[in-house]
Amino acid sequence: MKFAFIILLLLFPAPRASAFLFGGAREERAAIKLAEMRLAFEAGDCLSALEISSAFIMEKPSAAMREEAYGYMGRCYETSGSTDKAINMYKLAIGLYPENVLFASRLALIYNKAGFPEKAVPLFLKVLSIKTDELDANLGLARAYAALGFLSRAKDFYSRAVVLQDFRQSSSLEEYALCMLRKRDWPEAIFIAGKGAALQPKSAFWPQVGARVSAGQGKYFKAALAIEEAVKLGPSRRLRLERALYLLLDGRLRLAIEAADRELAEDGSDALASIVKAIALHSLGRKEDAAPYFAKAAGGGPFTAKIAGAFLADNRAEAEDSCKK
Amino acid sequence: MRFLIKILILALSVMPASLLAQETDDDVLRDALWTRLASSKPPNRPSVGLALSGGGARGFAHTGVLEALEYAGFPVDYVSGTSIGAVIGALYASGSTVPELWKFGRDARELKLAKDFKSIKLLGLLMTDRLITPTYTNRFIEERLGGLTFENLKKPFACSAMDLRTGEKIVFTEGPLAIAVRASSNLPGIFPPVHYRHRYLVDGGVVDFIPIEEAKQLGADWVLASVARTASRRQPENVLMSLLQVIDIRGSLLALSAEKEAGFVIKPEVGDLTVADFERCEEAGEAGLLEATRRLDSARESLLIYSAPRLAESLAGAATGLKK
Repeated sequence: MKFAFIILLLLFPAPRASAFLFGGAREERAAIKLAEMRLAFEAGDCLSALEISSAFIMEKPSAAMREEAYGYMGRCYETSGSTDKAINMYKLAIGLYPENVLFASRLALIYNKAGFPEKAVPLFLKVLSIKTDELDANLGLARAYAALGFLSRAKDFYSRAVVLQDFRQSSSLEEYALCMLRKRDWPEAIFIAGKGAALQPKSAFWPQVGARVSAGQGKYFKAALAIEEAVKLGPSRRLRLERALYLLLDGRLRLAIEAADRELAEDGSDALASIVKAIALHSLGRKEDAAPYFAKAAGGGPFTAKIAGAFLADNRAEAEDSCKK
Repeated sequence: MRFLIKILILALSVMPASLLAQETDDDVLRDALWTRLASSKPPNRPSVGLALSGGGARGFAHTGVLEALEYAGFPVDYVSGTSIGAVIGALYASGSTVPELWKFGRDARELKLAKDFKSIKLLGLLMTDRLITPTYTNRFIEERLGGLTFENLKKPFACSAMDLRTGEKIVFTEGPLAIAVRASSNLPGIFPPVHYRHRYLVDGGVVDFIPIEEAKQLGADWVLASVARTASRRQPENVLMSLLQVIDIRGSLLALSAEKEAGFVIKPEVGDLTVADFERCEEAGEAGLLEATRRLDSARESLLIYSAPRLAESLAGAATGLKK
């Protein structure tokens, strides 16, 4: 009996000691709070998730539990617009859990969105060193590199991202195509435009990419045909004027004038239509006829106005020269 | 609710047009005209020169600038360079690709070019009373440009040096390339003058930090200048670094007046890199790419505004279609 009592005595303090040493009850309470946070987060109720987080932290939970909670808290701070808090949360979490790709990835995405791609790059690289097929990191890194001008590097990561998406995400394909247009990587731009057109056959965007690829190579006849296709799919003033520009650059000046006239009939002050018509008239040698259209174009955007100004100045210089003679 | 979701899905499905729809009329006009300029050759467009400044290791920023220009299809018909600009310009004019230029940057670190500068001890100079031969730099230049002449380059090229005896600016446009480039990048006071054609030649940066005039003399109507400007506020570590910094500051001052002759100037911010930080060439190159990317649309616009009337002259004869 005495022996049994001693055994019982020895066993009894065990849980209490563990509670004292490891905070078992607290752990349990923390686990409950964490589960509540998880539920609230998954239900999209970030307000509740953040409220519960204060009580959760008070329980001094284990590192593993905190790691999960920080993920919910960071994303909830992001959702609620508290970007500074989210940044601080992720920075802290990256220090504590360097192997967790979520924190670095989220922080990098914030930096990218906020216009600090140079800060995002090392974080995305870190994520990809741990998990090479992380889609968001591949796409994010591609965007960061593209924003910085490292277009060859951007190509590497865009291509990985679209392959990971099995070419089924039109927005990624679109970004990639635009990046390849900037890089003047015509074969890749055409390849992506083909994939995009297969995914969205009724989108005007893809024939427009095709038109720009052709124009980039000086093939304006082909560019005009492609942009006509785009106009059919999604008629817009901008697309029609892009077609007029290709006609102009192809040397089909009268057709360019007709196209510009159609837009000027809609809006007589259209600066882009005016400059197309003015340059076409100028190229035909009808400089006096062109002058009023250049003057109209001078009311357009800063670049259009400067181009118009360059022609007007050239005409003035020419007139002065002929007077001197 | 369902209707709203459908509207949202519909809105998202037309998103692809939205990125291009964000463009302004100016963007559309600039990009379209640019395709014409980039695919034309002189005399249908003005000829374009590229002038690369001195700046030691910082001048490796020119590589990044070249990469950005290449992405944009920026035409470069003539190249001129001073000092490190002469090295990079000569490599580029000889047909080296941009990836090859980046590799040269990595090589510069491995070939210990910085050693030529940083290992120089003033005491040694005083005791021996002899100037030091830049062994690594010379080897680097000879291995890559030895055997080439100005005449067999892919693009016309000029580089400048100074005659130490007369203070004259000497512009090289013909003859062997390597020795001209060595002269153009030869630091006065530390390295012995390059003896060539009865002249004693040192770094052209002393008299001509950014050779815009040279590009024009080659035939360029319009010049884009890449200037690796002085930014280091580091306290010079020794007498040599002080001398380098003085030369560099003087060069930057010279550049200020020369820049006015350029059609457009790109000035990469290379942080605290000094002229001798050759182990950090890639960093300078990346700074060049960043800055050139940031300024590229303005550079393109500047050249287009200059070129527009001449481009228009060539349109009348350009028709590929049936009806003009």
